[in-house]
Amino acid sequence: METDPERLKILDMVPIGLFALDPDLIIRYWNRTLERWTGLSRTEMIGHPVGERYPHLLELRYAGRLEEVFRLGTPAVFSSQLHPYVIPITLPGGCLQCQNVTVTAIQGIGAPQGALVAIEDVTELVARVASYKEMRDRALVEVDHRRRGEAELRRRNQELSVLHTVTTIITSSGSLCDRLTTVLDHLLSFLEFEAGFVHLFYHADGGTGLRVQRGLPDGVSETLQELVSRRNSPGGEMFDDRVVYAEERGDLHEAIRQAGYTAFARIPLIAGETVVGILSVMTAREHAFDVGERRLLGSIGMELGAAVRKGALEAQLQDAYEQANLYLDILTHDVNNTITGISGYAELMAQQIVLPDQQDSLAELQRGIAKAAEIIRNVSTIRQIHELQLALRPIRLDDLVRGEAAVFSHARIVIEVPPLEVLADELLGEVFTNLIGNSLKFGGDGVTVWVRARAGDGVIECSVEDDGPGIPDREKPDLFKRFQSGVRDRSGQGLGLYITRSLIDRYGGICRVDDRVPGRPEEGAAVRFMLPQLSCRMELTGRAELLVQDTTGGEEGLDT
Amino acid sequence: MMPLLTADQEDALRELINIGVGRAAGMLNEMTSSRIRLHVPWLRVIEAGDLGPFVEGERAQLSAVKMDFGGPFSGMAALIFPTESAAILVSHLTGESSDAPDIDALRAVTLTEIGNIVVNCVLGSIMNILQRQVSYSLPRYSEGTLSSVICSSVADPSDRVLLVRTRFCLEELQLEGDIVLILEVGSLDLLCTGIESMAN
Repeated sequence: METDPERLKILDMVPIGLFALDPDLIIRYWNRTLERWTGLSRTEMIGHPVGERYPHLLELRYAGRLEEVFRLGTPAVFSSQLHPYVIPITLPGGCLQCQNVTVTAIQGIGAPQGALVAIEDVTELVARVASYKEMRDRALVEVDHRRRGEAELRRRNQELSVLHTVTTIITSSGSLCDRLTTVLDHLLSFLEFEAGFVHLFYHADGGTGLRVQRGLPDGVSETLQELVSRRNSPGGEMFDDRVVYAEERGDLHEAIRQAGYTAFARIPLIAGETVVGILSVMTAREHAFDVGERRLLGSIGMELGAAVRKGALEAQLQDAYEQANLYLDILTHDVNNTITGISGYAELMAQQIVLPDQQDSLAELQRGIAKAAEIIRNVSTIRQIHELQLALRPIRLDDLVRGEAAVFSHARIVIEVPPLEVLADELLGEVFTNLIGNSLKFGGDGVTVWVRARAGDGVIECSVEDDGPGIPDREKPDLFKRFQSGVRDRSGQGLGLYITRSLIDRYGGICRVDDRVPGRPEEGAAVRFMLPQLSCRMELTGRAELLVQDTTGGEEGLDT
Repeated sequence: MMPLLTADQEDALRELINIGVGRAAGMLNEMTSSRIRLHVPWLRVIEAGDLGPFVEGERAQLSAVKMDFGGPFSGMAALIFPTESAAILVSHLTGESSDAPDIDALRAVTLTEIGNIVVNCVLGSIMNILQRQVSYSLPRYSEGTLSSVICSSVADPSDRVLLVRTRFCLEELQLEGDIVLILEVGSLDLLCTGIESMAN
């Protein structure tokens, strides 16, 4: 083996630690780089067994590999990850140098006569790789977090979408049974479950035990129904008011397990603090309800509970409405018939009574009868306004006014209405009846009433005026307020202006209380209103406007 | 196609190589804290052009540690893994917590050492019966498709290739790698002669 330092001088120049061993593991060469790294001179090292200074190299993990090099001439590689070091070299910072080492045979005649050990300092590389790995791991963690966040967001969106759909279905029109069935279908589809049912303890239609179901075999369905009916009794605990998620076969009720289901959820339908029913879903495949699904099912339980409660309240409201209608029918039909009868008898009495006192009493009686009839008529008209949705049609205004005025046969009524057509319905006559009636009632003896109409700009301008005592300015703003929110006097009398305004609103017109002679209230009142002309109908906006002239001549809008 | 080795020769060669990989496993166990076992479930002698379906399979990305040898018995020896398996093997042997599927510069050297040990032991077993002096290059790591990591070493698709399937068993983990010996002209005959003389 060549060991002449002069001839091996070039090996001192390389930045690699090099030393050579003979087959007896005696050091035969030690380069300058190793001298610098170890602080040990070649004089100290050459000629000495390597095991003297580095006994670990005599261990099998090193010696066995070196033995192969000498026996077969195969090279040997020692990596920094599997070997902390071959020659321990302490760096200025106190750490040990990381090394990649290769051992190659120095061939002789027959067998290798030596081995050259080359040590590469990879400390910097190890640090860089560690830093890169740390950075990569951090990035991977961030990516993982983001991925999880996005997955969570997608799931929440999906939940919200399902909840939105359920809410839309449950608040839609249709029977409660149909709506519950649609919700159940949608929920089963989302969860990819095969079966489920909704059982109501209180049914909106007044009965109990409304039940909708999907996918349940007949026998199972009956058993579960029986269990629900015994929910508050021993043995029926599976369907009591608690939330239950059973995800192991052992947790399941025998009836459900025997039907082949392996996961089951039972959610109470809660309205306020009352449990009004239960929702159950089940599947034959392995399933664990995650947080999102539990949250969703809980929300659906609340939505369905509220819908069931709302349905019950709506049913009660409908009952109350029908009862009220019954009373109104009695009022408008039976009482009206009775009044007609009394009125007939009063007419008969008028023909028989001759004494002045008796005539006064009879007149009082007839006024009372008239008031009662007015109340009935007003209530009936208001009911018609709210209930009837009559189609608007052309109506000859002059004919209509004359017909209504004829009812007041003893009154002085001047009609100045040209042949005009307006868009209205059969209740329009009530407007003129009420306004003429008011003028006669409050105008005093000998009052004259004028009913006027003329074609304006796309509208018909109408008025009912009188030469009675008029309406003081301070009272005008309140005249339409009867029956409005906050007004406690709700008798059936004095509803004429309210009815008038309601009807004119309905036709898309506007009305106001005015002086017959502008600025002179004491010379009589006037109610002026506009109706859509047949050829140019005003748009119905759904919002009516009342215009009441104030004392300064301005106009004040009142919200209705 | 006629088999290139007789059944007896194949058995003898498998036994020989099993001794080699057994020694390699012993060395790896000595160096690491792993309990590693190495098996040779089968070996074949095939033509280099037929190597693809055996080694590549579904795995396009391969990691290989290659070592050339020259002299009367010459060719190239390589230990080949799917890169993903190579990364898992290195992680287990070094105790790295990272399960990154890539091979960085440090892991490449570690894999080179593993390949060096396995290939040395297998070649050592063969050389024991050949009794010839052979020179070796340093082992080197490469990554890529089969054609890029192996086929550049194949002069002719009809070159004889000794393919040895090795199974690395690390506790519950089982990884398969292939030892590929591409033999130059005459080397297979030399090997057959050596096997025959060993049998006699």
